[in-house]
Amino acid sequence: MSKSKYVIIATLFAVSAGWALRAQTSKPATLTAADYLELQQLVARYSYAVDMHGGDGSAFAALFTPDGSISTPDRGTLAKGTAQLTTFAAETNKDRSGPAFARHYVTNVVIKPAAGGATGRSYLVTIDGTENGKPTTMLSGGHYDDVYVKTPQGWRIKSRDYVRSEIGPVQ
Amino acid sequence: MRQRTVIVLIALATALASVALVTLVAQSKPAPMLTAMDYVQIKQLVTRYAYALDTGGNNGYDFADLFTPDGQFIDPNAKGREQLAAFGRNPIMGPLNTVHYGMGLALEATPEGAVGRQYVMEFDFNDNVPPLGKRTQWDVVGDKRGDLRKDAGQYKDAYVKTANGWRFKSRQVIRSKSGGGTDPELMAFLKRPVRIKSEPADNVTAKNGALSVWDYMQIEQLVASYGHALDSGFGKGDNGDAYASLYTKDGLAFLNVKGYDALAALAREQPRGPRYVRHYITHHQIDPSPEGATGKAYLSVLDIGEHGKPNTVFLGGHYEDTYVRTPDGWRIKTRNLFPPKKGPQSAETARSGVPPR
Repeated sequence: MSKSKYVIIATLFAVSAGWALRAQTSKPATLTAADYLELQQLVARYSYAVDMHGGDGSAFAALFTPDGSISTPDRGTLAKGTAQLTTFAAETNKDRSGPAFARHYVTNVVIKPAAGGATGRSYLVTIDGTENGKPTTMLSGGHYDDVYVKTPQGWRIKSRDYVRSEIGPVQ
Repeated sequence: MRQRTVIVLIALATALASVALVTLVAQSKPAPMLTAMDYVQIKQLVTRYAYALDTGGNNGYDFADLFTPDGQFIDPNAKGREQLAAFGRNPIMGPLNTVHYGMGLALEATPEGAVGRQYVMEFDFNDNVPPLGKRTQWDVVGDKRGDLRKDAGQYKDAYVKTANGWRFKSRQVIRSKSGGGTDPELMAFLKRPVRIKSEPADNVTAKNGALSVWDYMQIEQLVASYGHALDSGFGKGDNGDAYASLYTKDGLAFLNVKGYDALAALAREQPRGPRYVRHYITHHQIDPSPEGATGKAYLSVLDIGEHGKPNTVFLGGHYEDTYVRTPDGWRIKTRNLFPPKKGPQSAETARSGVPPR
């Protein structure tokens, strides 16, 4: 092959690679209206799953991807992967849980399209209803930072970071 | 003998085959599905529940009419329109009363319609909020201006689609209680994938006077963003631009804060921080209007105590909004706050709202 042939091939390759790259980067991530609804439903199910703890914790783990994780900025990763998530759900707050237990109240669910799926932010306030003569009390609050992925079984949580509320500082 | 064996074998084979067939048919029966618009309409029905119950509107019949004619409320029990309307009457109810705050509505299609669950907490807000005086908004963080009421827990619902739209077939109160092991029905509900039927029209904006699923979602997202924008600027800390950007250029908040600069300045007076949360908004009712849409939403401002300080209920009430389509998407054109007050109100009080303090 002559040198000019190499140049032509290289140019063709570069142009097509450039096209492919541009097609990929210029196409913004999008969500359909049904995606928003399905993601809202996923976020809603989390509260029931985390508060029930449900015997073996499997309903909680089922809301995550197989490599899904939960974390906080201060404590790092609390559980990663189906096995750890299952154990986490089954073991945490064992004495304050159950199918009729409601503690994790979530609202302000904001969902945004992102490369590979979606991200979400939502507010949490934890409330313990009256039991054994104790009044109904507000325990804590903050927000969740989530990453979601659409799997063949529907939308799943890839990661959830819980950030407790802190006031300030003023910039 | 040999012939009988053959007959028995044939009979056995036929029986086995029919069992297999029945199983196959049962398995291949598709899981019931709802359309995206069904989900929107059920969500709007559940939102209307709070307004109907807390205002006692139309002498309790606003509440009763959210149910089917044979619909029932369970624990305490009320069945049928008259009993439900009686349930929807109470001296504390009125146009500015906000008590029941529902969150986390989880829905699923059934052969009869749909079922759902929703968490609910109840507030007892102070009717009168002391004036700010010389204090800043930062100074009053943590002031106690209300309490949580005793009841908290969840609703367990069944809905059906009637000629007049989606209605409650039943709503059961399940008060929060720890223990009790597992619930196989709830486990299965949580594990089943959510599948929603959708059509291309769901993903484009409708014309003025109508709202598509897309429009409902975008307006919901706009209002869901409100707390994030105001409290933390979506984690950036500065909230002025984030807050003002929720409104149209001529947007009007709280009767007298108009335009981008004024809105941004109002936000910057509020307590904030990159991790701060305070404005919890729920029950977002959305209706089409000739200009775009109108909406209402419940507000609870909850102060999460730090460094050993108690958590406090700071403020409640409801917003009333108008929204319009802009080239950048849906924006708030007007927002007004109605602080909570128990009982009937004069028409003027019920419609006035308040300026920022």
